[in-house]
Amino acid sequence: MIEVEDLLFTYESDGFTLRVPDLAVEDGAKVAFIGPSGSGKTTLFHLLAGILVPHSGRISVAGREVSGLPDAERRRFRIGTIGMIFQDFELLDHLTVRENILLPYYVNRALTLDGGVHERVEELARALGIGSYLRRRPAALSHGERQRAAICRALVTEPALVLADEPTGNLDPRNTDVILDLVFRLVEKRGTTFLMVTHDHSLLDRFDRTIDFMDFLPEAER
Amino acid sequence: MRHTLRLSLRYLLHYRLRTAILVVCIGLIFFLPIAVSLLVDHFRREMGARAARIPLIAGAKGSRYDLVLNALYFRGRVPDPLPRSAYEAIRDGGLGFPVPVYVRHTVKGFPVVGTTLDYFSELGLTVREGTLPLRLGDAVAGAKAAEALGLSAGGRVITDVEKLYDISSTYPLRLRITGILAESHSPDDGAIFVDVKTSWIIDGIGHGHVSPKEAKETSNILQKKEGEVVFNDALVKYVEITPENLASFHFHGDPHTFPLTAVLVWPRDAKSKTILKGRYAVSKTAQMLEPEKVIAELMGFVFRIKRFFDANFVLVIIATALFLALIVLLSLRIRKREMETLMKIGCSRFTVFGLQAAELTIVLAAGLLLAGVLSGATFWYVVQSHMLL
Repeated sequence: MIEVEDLLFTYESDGFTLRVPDLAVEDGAKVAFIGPSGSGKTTLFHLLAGILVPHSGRISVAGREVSGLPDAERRRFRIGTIGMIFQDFELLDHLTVRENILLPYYVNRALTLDGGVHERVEELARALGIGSYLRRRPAALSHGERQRAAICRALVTEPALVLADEPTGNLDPRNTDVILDLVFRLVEKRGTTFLMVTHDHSLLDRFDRTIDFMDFLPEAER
Repeated sequence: MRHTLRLSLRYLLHYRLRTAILVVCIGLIFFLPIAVSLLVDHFRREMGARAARIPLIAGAKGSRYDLVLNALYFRGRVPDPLPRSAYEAIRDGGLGFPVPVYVRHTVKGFPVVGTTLDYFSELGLTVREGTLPLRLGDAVAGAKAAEALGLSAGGRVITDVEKLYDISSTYPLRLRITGILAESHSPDDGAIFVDVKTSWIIDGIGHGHVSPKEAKETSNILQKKEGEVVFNDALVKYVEITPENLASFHFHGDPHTFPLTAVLVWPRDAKSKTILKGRYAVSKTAQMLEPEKVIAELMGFVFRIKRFFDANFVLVIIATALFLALIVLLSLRIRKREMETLMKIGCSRFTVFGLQAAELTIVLAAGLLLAGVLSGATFWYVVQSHMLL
């Protein structure tokens, strides 16, 4: 369960302010976030993930009060609870696909890399159709294949919540459908909550709910 | 730690050209001071050890550095000659044991050292093959000189022509190699030793005669009649002392005035040493030196120069550190996105710093390893090829 109450966050650099009076998402739900660019969708994702800290208000994810946690605790919480997928994949060129998927284990001591994890990598990669590409480098993959690798990396830690920031923004419609099918199958199987930012309104029917960020903007800006 | 190293190595290997350039830069920066330090230390040790084996050196007045370098290492300018009488005076005075040294000639660039058999016993030199030079015209080669000239016992070498276009100068002497010295890791390895009298023959002070009637060489004979032999004027290329002409060799002039370049002296005791030094202190034509002190003085100059070099190296290290810091800062800027990704997936700032530090450490270690290998190879090459001594 995700709960947000009276959230207020302001970027000091440009003065943009995000206000979310009230937001609740049930466990296992698939929710689409829409809204114009600059309306705060990515900012809310970063707040939910504990990358940013709100100036006021309350954020609770999977029963933990994220906003009140100290830095190190918030980072540990993010590692154990949240998987993130980015629009431009953010894979590291110098690592193989397998190493990119295992990256959260390489850089976090809190996670233990054992045989079970390796099996999970194989299983996820097979399910996402990149099972035979694990030894390749990202540069040798197509856009769609790279995004599948990024999805693998987000899911390998078996997070309770996946935050996907326009993961299909760089994909063609056919690849978008294939990727969403695969992600939905995996999150439904594990009961993972899935929040996704998208500008593609044709995809909204496939989600349980849609949250329009226009609702969070002041009347004058809508 | 294992994963940090793995990620760092992956990054460095992926951008191998960039990494190689950095490693080579660091390697070359450290190579020179390490190699110089190794060589200077070796040079100091070797020079000091040689000087410590010979307590005193007598020679003509002049540059003490020239005298010591020529007498001990067979290098540098040939000092003014010291008359043989100086050697005889020390020998007859009973205060020390003298060994004459005459280093003026060369064989294909290798010094020819004229001395007596005492030189070998005093410096503990033994023959690996053959015998020591016992006769006029005999020579024994140091191990390195023999290797370089391809000599073995029974071989022949000709001394270098001193003045090629001066037809009045003496002919080179063809030496008979009677033995090869065992390697001693000293300047003796790179020299050819003859009896001091042989050196004087090379000088032209002594010579032999061949009766035309007994001449065996037929290519120079134009006509041979009863009581008359006519030679052509073909240039004689060298002189050789053979069993047939040995008896004809003789010296002209006063033997007491025959030249030496130095006399190595082993004093009987500390008191004798002091007396010998005192006697020569007032001499206007000769000097008695303690090689160890002269070499220490000489090394003092070398180390003074090295100190400048060391100070320069400190500046180079500072410049390198700044250069590396700049690279790290630029790298952080280029890799900002990568670092952000790592932090988004839960990597701490400490781990990000650890990754950077590990990469830098690996590059530095590889650079230092390269510098070590290059320095070691240079040291080995210089020592093996006797470039210093």
